[in-house]
Amino acid sequence: MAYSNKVIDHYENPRNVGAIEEGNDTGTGLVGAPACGDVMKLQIKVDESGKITDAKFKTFGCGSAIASSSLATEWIKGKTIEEASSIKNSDIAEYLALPPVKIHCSILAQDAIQSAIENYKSKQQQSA
Amino acid sequence: MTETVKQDMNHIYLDYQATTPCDPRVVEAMMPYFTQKFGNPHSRVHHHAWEAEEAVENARAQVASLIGADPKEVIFTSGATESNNLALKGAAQFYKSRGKTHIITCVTEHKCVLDTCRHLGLDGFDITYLPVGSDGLINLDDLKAAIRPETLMVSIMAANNEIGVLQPLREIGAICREAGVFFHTDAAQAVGKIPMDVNEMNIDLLSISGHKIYAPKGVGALYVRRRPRVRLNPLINGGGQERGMRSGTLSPALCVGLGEACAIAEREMAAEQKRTTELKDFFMNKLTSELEDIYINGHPEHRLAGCLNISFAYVEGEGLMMGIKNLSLSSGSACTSASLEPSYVLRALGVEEELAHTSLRIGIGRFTTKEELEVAADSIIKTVKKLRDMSPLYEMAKAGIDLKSIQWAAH
Amino acid sequence: MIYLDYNATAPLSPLVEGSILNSLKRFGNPSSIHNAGRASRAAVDKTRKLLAEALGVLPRDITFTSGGTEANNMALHCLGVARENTYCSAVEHDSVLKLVAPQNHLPVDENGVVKLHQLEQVLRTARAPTLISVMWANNETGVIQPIKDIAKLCQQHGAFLHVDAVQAFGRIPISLLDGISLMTLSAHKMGGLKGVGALVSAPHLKMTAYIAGGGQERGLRAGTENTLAIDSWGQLLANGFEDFSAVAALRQQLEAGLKAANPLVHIWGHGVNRLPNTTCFSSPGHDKETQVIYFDLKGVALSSGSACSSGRVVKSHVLQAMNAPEDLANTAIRVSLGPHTTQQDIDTFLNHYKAMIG
Repeated sequence: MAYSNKVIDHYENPRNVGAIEEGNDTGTGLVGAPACGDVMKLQIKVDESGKITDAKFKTFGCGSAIASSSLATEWIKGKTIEEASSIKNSDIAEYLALPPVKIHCSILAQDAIQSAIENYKSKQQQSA
Repeated sequence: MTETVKQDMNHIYLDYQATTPCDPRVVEAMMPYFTQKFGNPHSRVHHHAWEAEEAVENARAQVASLIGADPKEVIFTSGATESNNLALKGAAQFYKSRGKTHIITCVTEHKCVLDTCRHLGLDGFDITYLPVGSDGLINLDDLKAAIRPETLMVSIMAANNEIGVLQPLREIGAICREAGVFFHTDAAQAVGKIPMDVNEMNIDLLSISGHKIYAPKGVGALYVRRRPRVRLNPLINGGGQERGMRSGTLSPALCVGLGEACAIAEREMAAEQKRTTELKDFFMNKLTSELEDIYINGHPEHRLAGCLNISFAYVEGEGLMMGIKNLSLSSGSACTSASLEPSYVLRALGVEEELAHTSLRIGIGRFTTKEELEVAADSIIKTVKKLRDMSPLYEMAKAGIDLKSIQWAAH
Repeated sequence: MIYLDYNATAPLSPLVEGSILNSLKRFGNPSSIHNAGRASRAAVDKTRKLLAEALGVLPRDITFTSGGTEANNMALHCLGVARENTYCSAVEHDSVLKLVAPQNHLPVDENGVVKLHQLEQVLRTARAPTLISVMWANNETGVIQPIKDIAKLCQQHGAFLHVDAVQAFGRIPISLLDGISLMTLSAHKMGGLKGVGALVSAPHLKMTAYIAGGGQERGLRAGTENTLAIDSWGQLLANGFEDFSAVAALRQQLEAGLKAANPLVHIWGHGVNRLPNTTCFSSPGHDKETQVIYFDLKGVALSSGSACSSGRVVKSHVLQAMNAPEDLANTAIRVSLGPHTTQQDIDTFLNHYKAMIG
């Protein structure tokens, strides 16, 4: 399998690996399944203005899955949750030059962003 | 010409089940037949042809000797895939009219046996696929129970290409002989690595691959028992070469290569087995001393020393492969590794899918050195640690969360 | 040793000889995804591309096999045409002839050329789908069939046409003409290694697998590719074909010499298109096997016909189909030249021939 340089870069130097301590201002998305070969955990920390101040990920998966989630955290940091939720899997796939068999990695990364934002929003609603 | 295979720590070859490099001694034996002695071995008349024919017959005897057969019982083919196709389809077509319409095989056979059986199934044959236990071995009682009056043949591989387990050939052979059914074994991975004797094991048909035993690609052999005689309809018709069972111009050079490879294997098998076992132990000790939660798939003892299929829990196989680019190895069978499906062999063993996704096949072969395995183990350990540090599954497992308790969303 | 048996097999081209060791070092399994595998895959794909370019087809229409015999077998099986609807010329190679029912062997004229009006009759009455198999050039006589006309006829009648081009490829210009569905090639007749051939197919032709297994060759021909032989074939193709232009002149001298030495000599297919390198001739009164042994003792390698008869002394079905009288059929031998044949080889051969005739 030939990987693009950008995939290799994110695989070798993944950005924002780690965990954020859960709180009311955080959101966690856990998507995928071990049996399918990919699991992504993506976490966000959001300030009062709705801006994502921190993002972390952990991924079980191939190089493209790791790169997709690493890129996702990089892109959403500093964005508002509205801006972040508009990120499309095709943007990720295009940027990383993913081959067709790896498009599902970018879909999973988009799902992870959405899932983390939903988790954050549900916490907000509960506390409101 | 006799230079040894180059050591290059940036490209360490650990995929000896996919294919092997040609042994320099095999190359040396073949070279004259590529160039000066180019005669068509089937034109029995002129001088060139005589030399070529003599060489091919000598090679046939070398192949026969390795498996305890008579040279007349060995036919050359283009490789083990063709041998398996010929053994199964050839016998099936010949004996079909005699009411022998049932074949027994096993779910972990090589793709070419399974695919051939699938074709025969479409062609009116009844195929029984025996399951395997979690150790990868068939159950002999299952086999006995599956044999029926119309059973033509049992086809069970000698050594599995993905996990290296050795099926109990001697016992299978005895059962088949007693029941009066033919026993075919795909021995592509086993020949030259473990002692094989077609008479002691009651094997009637046996497939051999050249490129799995340090001969080139494009040549293989099929052992076909003469007493009691196994009849085959040829797969490839034409000039009637190879006792009419396999037409086509043979490459004397490739046959000589296979013969020489068999002769070397016969001479050096015991020493090589010992060396490979020592290397395997060294490698596994190094891995287990640094990494927890790693599992060898398949029976711990009934196996080839040089074929390790290891699951590294909580890391994904392809992601792991990307971190060990200095190692040439496979995350499954070479023929299917382009697909994202976990291996059907591991699935048949009941290996959970998440573990099946985390497995590597490591092949230790004739040219593997301790230094290479040291570098390989270091690379694997470093990458597994790095990937576990970024694995949400590892994090959860360490936090005491049972991964099975989580409702995973399938996608 | 003078080698005049190029139609049985050609000596390895010097273009290939030097590359064997390097080729063997590139040993990865083309199906493996690592470095070693990808390097082998690239070599296989390169040869596929070169073959495709040479024949005017796309790379995906080339299926590698273990040789011409397997490709011929595959051709006659892979379209699913029933045996009763499969026809071939009566002068085909055994690997085609034996797969076709004797009553479906198409007659040839006294030169060994397929009788087109008879073919047309068959095409008119045969039930679809029909498969016709005709070789481009004959291995024993070198006679070239009117493939263009045959292809046209098959196309008009909607029949599949398979062409065994094993002897023609590399010796005369050929391509996958309109109307040809399948074509067989072999590497070792043109100076490559034994152990590889190809079946070329028309675009989008529906075919079924012949050897089942790991899905190589688009699922049509399983088995790990013979990378050495495929790579060597590519070396040959990349360097252009071996030059057969000088061979035609040598053959002309040879045939003139034969006629001068023996007025009774009969050269088969003399009046029709033939490969530039092949002469099949009868010398009444001189048994063919005796001649072959005589020349072998003199250090000249030639043959009494098809190489694939495993040494059995059999009547040539080719000459039989051409209605050759017994005394001619029993005294026919084949001389086939190659790009490395010299003037001196021909002179020496003719001297031995004159001595034999006495």
